[in-house]
Amino acid sequence: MEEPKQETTPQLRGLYSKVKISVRSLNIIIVVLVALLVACMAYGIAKGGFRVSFDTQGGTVVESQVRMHGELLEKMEPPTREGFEFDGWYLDPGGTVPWDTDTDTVTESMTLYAKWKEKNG
Amino acid sequence: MAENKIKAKEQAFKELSSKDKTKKITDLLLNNAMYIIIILAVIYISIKVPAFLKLPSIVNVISLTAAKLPIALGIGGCIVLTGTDISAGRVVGLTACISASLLTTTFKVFPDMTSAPPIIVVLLTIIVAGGLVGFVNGFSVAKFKLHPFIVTLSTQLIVYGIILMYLMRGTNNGQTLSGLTDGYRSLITGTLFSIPTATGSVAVPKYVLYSILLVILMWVIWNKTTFGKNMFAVGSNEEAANVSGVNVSKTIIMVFVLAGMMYAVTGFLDGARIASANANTGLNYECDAIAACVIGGVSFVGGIGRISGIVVGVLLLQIIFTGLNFLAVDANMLYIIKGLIILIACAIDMRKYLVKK
Repeated sequence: MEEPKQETTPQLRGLYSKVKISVRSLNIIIVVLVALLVACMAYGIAKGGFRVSFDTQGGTVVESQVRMHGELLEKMEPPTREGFEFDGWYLDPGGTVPWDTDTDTVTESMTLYAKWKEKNG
Repeated sequence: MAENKIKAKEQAFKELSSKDKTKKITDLLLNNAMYIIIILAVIYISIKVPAFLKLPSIVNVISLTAAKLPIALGIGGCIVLTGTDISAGRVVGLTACISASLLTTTFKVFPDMTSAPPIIVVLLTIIVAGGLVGFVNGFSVAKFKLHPFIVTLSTQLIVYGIILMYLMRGTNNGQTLSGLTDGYRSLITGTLFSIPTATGSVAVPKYVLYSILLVILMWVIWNKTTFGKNMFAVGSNEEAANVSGVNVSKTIIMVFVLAGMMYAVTGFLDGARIASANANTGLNYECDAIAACVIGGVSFVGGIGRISGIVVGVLLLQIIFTGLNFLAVDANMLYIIKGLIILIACAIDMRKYLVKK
């Protein structure tokens, strides 16, 4: 039963109809790919951490942070800008979705945008 | 009954020679490689981050699975026909944008409108829109014998163009659509029931129920109707199906139309679930759906596949990606992992077919 399978590779159908491959080669491919997948996962986990960048939109530079899932952002100095007052961090450049640094926890890599209020007078 | 079966299998296994035994075990390990990796990953993740196996996280996984099920159920049919459909994600985007533009309180796309149309009208409109794209796909595949890949690649681009133009209408100027009506949001994301926990309660959203209903509907269509049987016949051998009196063209067109309708439902759920829609809504959804189908045993060989397999595939994929997210694995790496998963699933798929032969 085993021998003819190895000698004449059976024809695959459908999307694989042009593929000519033996079970043995497939075994090797599967093992290699699984090893690669595990390696990628291990690398991803070892390098784990979401990068949170800050776009101050004209203000002073704020260093980006690397946080794990479910963590709060580290305390940081608010940026400053000539003639403007800092009005908090937002998830979008337009400043409509606010980010509360005291309660909101990180769940993905993202960029936070500063919102500015013109100083009175 | 089941016990007897297992016993019989055990007996048969004991009677095998040692060489055959190793072969059986290799078969078992390799054919289930994907499930084994996922189980090991889940064990590892739940040791590292115990919150992963807590109720809120489980409900989150189930909800996200429910949200991604309809599109996978649609694409599954196309794969059974040995085809594929890469326009799916964009159709989801288009229908989400149409829903979000009509069921809103701000009407930026249609500045002349003052009140939102009834939800059912919008739902029917987008189902027709999705079905129409599916019809174009199916018609081109069935009548011109074009490969589904090339047909759906072009409809993907065309639909993307339509989305961008649609979002430029009125005073919207390509912006993200938001400000959805409460009726629409609560219909989809409202609480189906909540499970009390030590710290408050976890709400299960209503769209989980809709997904379950769609799974039942698709199960009936695939297993209990002539159309379903014809679909499998055409998928496994088009000529034979034709000779035995199946209307091949009609079957192919219907599979694609049904798929388009499923994408429309996905878009309808997604608009409310994310509470907004823009040109990137639905991007790459088809990749996840195709991967889920292949993991779930819907074979690219054609004519092979089960609804339960699709459900398991979507669920497993969701579990692994939620888990990796808990370990803070970067989104860039997730794309590489997704690609590898599809390759492995295909290799296993081919192996299963060759070994059976």
